[in-house]
Amino acid sequence: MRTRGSILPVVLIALALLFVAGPLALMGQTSLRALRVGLAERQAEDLAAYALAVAQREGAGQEGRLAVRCPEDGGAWRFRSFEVDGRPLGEYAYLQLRSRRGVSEWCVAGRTVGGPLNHGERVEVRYRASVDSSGRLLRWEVVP
Amino acid sequence: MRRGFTLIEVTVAMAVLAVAATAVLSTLIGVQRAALEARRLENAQALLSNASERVRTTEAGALRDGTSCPGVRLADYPYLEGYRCVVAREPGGPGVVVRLLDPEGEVYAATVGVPR
Repeated sequence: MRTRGSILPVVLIALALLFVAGPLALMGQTSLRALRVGLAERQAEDLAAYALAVAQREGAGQEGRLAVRCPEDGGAWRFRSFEVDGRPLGEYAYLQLRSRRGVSEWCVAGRTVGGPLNHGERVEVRYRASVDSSGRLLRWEVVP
Repeated sequence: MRRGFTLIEVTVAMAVLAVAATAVLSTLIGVQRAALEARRLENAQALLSNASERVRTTEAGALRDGTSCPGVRLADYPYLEGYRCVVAREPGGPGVVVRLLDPEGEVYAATVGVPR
């Protein structure tokens, strides 16, 4: 009988190591991406809140009949850029809706552009805001 | 009767093991870096959220350019050692820019708040 060693166990060990390494790296990247998205979400929400402040300061600036609900069509929003030290933080937009009993209604949006300040992530949020005549925020709800 | 491995078999086995070990080692280094970056991002997100919330409840006049972010204690964010958080009024606008600067003074993350 011939007794010989085999390299098969070594190859199996190597393959097992590679099978462990792949998912480990993937898990790390997935959790990192989730945190980047979380940061970009915060920035987009702050940009939407900023859009409301600009809207209240500048007024409607729109002509013609005002809409009753926030537009779903992305083209209806006129986004403006917001930069920090010449680098884009994101964009914001606002639209005035028809007012009801002294309550101003606005659609506001904020979005990140996936730049270095956003750590490469693009997130967009849209809200419908109701503000009374003294500028107090009455309602702030997500627009689907 | 022959026992053991041939020289070729040993060489192939060593090469395969070396490749696998290198891949695993570089992966582990990458995972460690990703974990550190994740903790830093987590801290940065919490800090920016707290800072912009505090800006909302602060009078605009109380926020002077280049001052530290209101209500933010960097000691509460252990993964941001050496970082600084400063605010600056937006020229001609209603916003206040919140900047998180890394130890080299570069903007690591930023957001915008609207003072009361």
